[in-house]
Amino acid sequence: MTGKIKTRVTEILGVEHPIVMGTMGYQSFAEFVAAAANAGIFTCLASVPFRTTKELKEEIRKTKSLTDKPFGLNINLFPMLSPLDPVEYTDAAIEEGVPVIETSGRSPEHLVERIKSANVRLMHKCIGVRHAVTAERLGADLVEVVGYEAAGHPGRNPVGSFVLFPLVADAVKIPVIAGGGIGDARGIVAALALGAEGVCIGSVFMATQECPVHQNIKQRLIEARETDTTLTFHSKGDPMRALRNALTEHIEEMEQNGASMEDILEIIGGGKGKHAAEIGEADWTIMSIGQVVAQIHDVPTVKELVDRLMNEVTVIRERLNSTIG
Amino acid sequence: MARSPLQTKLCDMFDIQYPIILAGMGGISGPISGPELVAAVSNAGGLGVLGCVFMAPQEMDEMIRKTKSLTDMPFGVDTVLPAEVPEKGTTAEFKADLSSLGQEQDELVKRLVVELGVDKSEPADSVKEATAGHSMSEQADDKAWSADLFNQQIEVILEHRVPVYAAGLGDPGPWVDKLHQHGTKVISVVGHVRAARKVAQAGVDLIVAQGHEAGGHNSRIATMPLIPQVVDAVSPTPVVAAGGIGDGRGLVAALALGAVGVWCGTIFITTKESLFEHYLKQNIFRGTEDDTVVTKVYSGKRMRVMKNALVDAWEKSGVPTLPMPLQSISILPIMDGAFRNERADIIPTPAGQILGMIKEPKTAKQVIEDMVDGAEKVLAELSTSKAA
Repeated sequence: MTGKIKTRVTEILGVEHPIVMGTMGYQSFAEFVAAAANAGIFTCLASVPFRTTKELKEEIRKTKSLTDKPFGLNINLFPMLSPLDPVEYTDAAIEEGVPVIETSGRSPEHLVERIKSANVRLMHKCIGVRHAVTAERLGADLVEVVGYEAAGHPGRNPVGSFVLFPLVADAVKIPVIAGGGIGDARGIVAALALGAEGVCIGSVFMATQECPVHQNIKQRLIEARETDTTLTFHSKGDPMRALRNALTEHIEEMEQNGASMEDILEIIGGGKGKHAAEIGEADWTIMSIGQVVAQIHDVPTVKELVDRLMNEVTVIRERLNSTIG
Repeated sequence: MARSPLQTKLCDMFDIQYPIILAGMGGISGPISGPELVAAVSNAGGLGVLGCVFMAPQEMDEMIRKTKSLTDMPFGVDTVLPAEVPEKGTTAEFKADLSSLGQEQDELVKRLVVELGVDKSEPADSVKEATAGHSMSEQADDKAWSADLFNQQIEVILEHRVPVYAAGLGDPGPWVDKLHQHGTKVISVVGHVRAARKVAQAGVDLIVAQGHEAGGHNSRIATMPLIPQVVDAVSPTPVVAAGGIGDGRGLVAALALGAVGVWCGTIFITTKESLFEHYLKQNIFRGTEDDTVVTKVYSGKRMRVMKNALVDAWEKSGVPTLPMPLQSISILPIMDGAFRNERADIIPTPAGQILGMIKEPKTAKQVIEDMVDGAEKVLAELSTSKAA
């Protein structure tokens, strides 16, 4: 048995391994994206940090100068989160020849025609069966589904990955990329067994050399236990999974005292939270991380991590295939 | 001689054909994993486990005898050992405590009895027959909630030399040596790594790691991250996966994560042999994976059940729940009326999120055969068609 796994996901994305590195809103810049692409996996540039299409196009070109492998652009459709209209990001991606657009947060309905008529692939990220079915109906080429245990926003009454993955695989005909709870090769094989044709892995890649976060943050990830994440920011109506720390406790207090969303956002993304992230003050940095955090034990390069994962996938497949004498 | 990857260490340990264990389900109103279901699972090659939660010793004795008359294959018995309960205490004694500790809750219950419409009317004939005229409260009064009861239950298990004891909740550590001396293997169900380490150190033979997807008492940690983390933490103690397993895909996924088998509740609760009320099984067939909620309303501990009128009303009130066992005692007046009227919107339907996959009743044998067939198909796919 060779190591390579071919599925519709690897074929559509043009990627060596059936792994998508989860887009990180403020880390998925050119160098990190190129490192992932060069390691044989797929990932998307984040568009959220870019205030003009000129800046975004520059970042796309910069990424292309660092890798000749394919990569995508993430367009986050949560209202208020991005400085530009999603249509502008979409057009910029199309003009720069980005082959895949990943949408998340809301329905991509108003972007579909634009994307499809430019022959660009649409990958939609969502958190439930109904959304996946809608994405397929709208014309998505791939659907990414993310379970309760993942970093980010798992939804208001989230479904765990063990249930979500097979239910979505049953509900749609397009290939499913499954995310949430995959912390090593065992999770990759488990997700494939449950019906996925690719996996989305986020948290574990935050603890890599190339991920542009402070070393102190990566160290905090190594130390964390599986029970150290919390669903915070309930008042937004869309809770977010993050590592419990002084900042998340402060947010909880603020919410109990009826603080406005703007006040809370200010602490996280502006002022104190932003500064803390820059200087590696882990207690006051918002770290969106999944329950797999307990499986992070070191900080390899992206390539070392990918090779380790895929070699171990082969070992597990052999174990499952074995007949014991 | 060649063996299928489905014949794991678990099969050797319990002398069973398939690495599939029936969750020992039961509650204050009796067993759900009763003798027929247990025997059906064991006869089909899995390990049936009797749900003897809070069951009186005499009743346990009857259940075990009945099961032995229906199967020669190995089966287990499940009880709970929650740490909070005191040495001695009956429902009637706890009710007295309620007046001082649970005034706010008592007032809410009185209000809900009226709001939910369970304060009136005659019981359905089927209910009259089953309960011989006693209300749930009356039946519950002499139920004990104490370490005393748990000790008596273990004695019954030892007397019958039941091959497997499962602690569905709590730490069986103090009883492990005694059980081992009588030839009984010990299973412990846990929801996070720290608890797993504790029971592994106490010498249990098998750990069931149950993730957030599961019905009934609930962990915050989902199955996908929980299993490999527990496997690593307690190695070489074997681990079985629970929470979200619905078919052969789930079984293979569990094995991929490093488990030696699966412990399943929801897929068996809807079988023809289960003692679950038929009108509650309907809730499961009609529901989806979005229809459950984790609540402390029924037992004082986080439990996953299908959303319903009682959970909605209690959560809306903002009144906190009481600890175990006071919470379940405090809601008895509501439950009395609910059982009398077969109120499927108040009686809890414990169910895992996997209920989204369950649309029709099967026999336990069909569940197992379908799971094994499905697993073999997935194993074949994993080894060939996806390889380059």
